[in-house]
Amino acid sequence: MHRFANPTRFLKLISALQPWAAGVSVLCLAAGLYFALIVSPADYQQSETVRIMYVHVPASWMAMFCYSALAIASAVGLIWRHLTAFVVARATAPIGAAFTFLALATGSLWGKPMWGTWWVWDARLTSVLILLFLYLGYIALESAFDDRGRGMRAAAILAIVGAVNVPIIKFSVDWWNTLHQPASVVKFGGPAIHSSMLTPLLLMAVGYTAFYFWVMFVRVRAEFNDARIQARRLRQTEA
Amino acid sequence: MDLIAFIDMGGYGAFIWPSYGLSALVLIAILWQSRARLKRSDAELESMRRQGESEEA
Repeated sequence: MHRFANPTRFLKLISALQPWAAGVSVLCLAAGLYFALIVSPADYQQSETVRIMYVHVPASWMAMFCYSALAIASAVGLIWRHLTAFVVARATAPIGAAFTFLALATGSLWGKPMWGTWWVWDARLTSVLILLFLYLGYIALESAFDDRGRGMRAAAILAIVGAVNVPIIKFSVDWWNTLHQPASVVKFGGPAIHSSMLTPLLLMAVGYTAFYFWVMFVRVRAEFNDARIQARRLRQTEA
Repeated sequence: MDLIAFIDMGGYGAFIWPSYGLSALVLIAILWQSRARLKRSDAELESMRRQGESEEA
């Protein structure tokens, strides 16, 4: 495990993977947009507004995926004292926050024409709003200490404790009464959605996932650069 | 395909297009900011390395 923590090896790996992530992301998003806006049909109940699904659902999935990655990387960082894991967590948080914001904003734009309201304080929407606050709390806490190590550890604990929110979000539509519709793709018995709608949805989801890895790799490389710059400056002042 | 009908989206264009526009805006912004950070730090490391070499020489 510790061999993977070797920053040089990790940097080599992500530098090699980055163009692939970028390529997959751009191709899938371009194809996804074509299917989402042009090929796919309007829904018989929701008419054209169903097209908001193709940006809303992948953003929501990524909001939870990124938080899971954040919590796991934080746990690995705390348990095995992996600096690389902390750096992945730190690079993931703003991307996850962006996806969560998009899930809320596009949900609101979908809610207004379909439910007649921009916002309701129901379980699904409220728990996703809490997810956004967890991301923002992580980012704030992480940079609140002069000692970077302390900040990373404190924020990691917040990320792990906050992970309880992820299953709450997932099952909120089953556990509580809500305006939000229940899961129709990830559920027992297979997806309850026609392939003409599933195709753009999955293309967009793969595109969003690859996009996360692309941006995460860029941010991790920048983090390691910053650490090297700081180390050099420190040596210069000591000399 | 009728462009006006495409933009109108059955009367829901005012909700659909902002969803796509905002998503594109936020994702491009975070990508751009991340890449700018990487480029800036790459350039700074490079100039530090050159400075170090010239001091050693």
